[in-house]
Amino acid sequence: MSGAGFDFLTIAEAARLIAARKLSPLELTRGLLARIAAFDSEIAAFLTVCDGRAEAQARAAERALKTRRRGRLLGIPLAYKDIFATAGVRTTAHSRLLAQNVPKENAEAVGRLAAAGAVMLGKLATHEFAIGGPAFDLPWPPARNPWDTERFTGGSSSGAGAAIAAGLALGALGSDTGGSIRIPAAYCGIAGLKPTPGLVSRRGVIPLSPSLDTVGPMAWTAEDCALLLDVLAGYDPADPASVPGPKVSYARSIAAPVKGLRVGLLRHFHERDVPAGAEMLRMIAALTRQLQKLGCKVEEATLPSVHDYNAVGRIIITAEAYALHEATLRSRVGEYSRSFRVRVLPGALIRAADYLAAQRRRTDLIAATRRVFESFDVLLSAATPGSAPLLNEQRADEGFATPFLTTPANVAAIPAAVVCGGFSAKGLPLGVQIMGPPWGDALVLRLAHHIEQIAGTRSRRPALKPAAGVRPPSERRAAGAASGSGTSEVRAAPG
Amino acid sequence: MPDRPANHGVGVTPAEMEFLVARAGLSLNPGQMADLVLIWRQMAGLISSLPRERALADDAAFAFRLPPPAKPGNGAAKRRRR
Repeated sequence: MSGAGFDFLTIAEAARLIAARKLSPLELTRGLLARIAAFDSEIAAFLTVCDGRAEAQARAAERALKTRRRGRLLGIPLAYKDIFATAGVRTTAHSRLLAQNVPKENAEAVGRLAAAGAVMLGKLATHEFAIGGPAFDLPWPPARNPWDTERFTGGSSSGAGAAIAAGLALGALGSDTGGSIRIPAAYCGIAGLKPTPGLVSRRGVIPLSPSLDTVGPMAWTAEDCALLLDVLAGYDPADPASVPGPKVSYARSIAAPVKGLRVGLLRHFHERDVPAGAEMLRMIAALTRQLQKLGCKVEEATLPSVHDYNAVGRIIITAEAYALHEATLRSRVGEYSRSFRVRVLPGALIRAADYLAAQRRRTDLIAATRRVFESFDVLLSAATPGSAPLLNEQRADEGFATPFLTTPANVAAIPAAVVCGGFSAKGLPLGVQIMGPPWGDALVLRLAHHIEQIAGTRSRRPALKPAAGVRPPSERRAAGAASGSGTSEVRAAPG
Repeated sequence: MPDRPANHGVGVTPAEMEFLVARAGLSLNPGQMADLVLIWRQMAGLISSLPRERALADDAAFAFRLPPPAKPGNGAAKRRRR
């Protein structure tokens, strides 16, 4: 890592080097912990850093290297959005209400990654309970965008986007109910996949809206997301939404050609429904031309308006999130952030008839979306209207005013990825969204991978400045912080 | 009495809002109540945008079920034969 020539490795590169015994998992883990110590005070991506635990897991990976029983992610350092239960390590949902919550078991997704040999670096910032926006009235500050720390990461998987872009973790687990993997992927210039619902188990993940919640991988490249998905995908009878997915290797199929692929360009999404800026439109137009050169058949496609999907998504999320939090909102409403309250309290007033009207409308939108896939293999749109906005322009009371270009995929129950398609004049990432039919996750990742290749964005990383007076990891042991393991060193909640 | 459009809560008065909040078992301070009044207008607009004209029997079960996964390979979309 720093000074050793291993900065900014991808998961694929690190896995190859580890397998070839050219990179030690312990060296890689220590390098990332040193980067976290040097840079995370500015980025605030991590709520909990598990120095001791991570080193112990890296040592176990070193021992496993000497055997034939090697997991597919042996020695790969990852981090998890702090709504994923982690045995013995506090899981706060970035909320003071759960500041001392230490689960006894791992979430299924965390367990699968651990079984594959991954190293857990720590737990990542989120919007409180994965909804709302950046909040300054919580025990931890919001994550900041490594490309410009005055700017928003997007959310709610905010820490995941920031940590991966800053090279503090090779990959992460995020969750996506209306765009929470894909918006930070867009603003932070990384790759993220919202899988087909049911493909990845949600067991052990603090829910927001069970009708729409999905969990998925975030990493620097689409190929890395595919490597993670190969481990994450699988039936889990303990998640009622889990479905046995297709038997496919997402990583092995990622480089297959895209010639002949029918790509539907959802021009109305980013030109009429939620108008994007000129830089975003130029980036989409340039990618379209490049895809045609690769042999893709790109034609304009039309879905119902983004506003229709957003109305349905917002009503369902608000009603379900309120129902989940009702008891606590009655007794401890003042302990939530204002941002959370603004988004969730309206759920107290949504009538059952309105909630069911939204669910019925969702059925129409699912059917309308599926019909479009009779004519197209994949759909393409901007991920966001522009690059990352300033953090201090984010207003808690904006509420539901701005529709998301990402929510249609949640409402339509389809897979969708976001990758970096270019950069703005200010050097900020611009994200492009690829959507596919149910179970088309491999196809979505394949096109995402090819877009990364033609866009040529993966060699560019944010320039970070180490914070003044940085303390090494060994001095960051937080006295009295919640932890169930003597091997973990956990950052205490400030303030 | 002439027909009138359904009111999906757009025109909730402050007194009605206080009643609804109390009925929900919530105890909000004035700032929290002001936020809720402001944001409810947006939510009520979203609710009003939902179509309501469908027949009762249009879909007896609104819950969706995913189809079985397609065979792996080039594209999950079914290509129409011409």
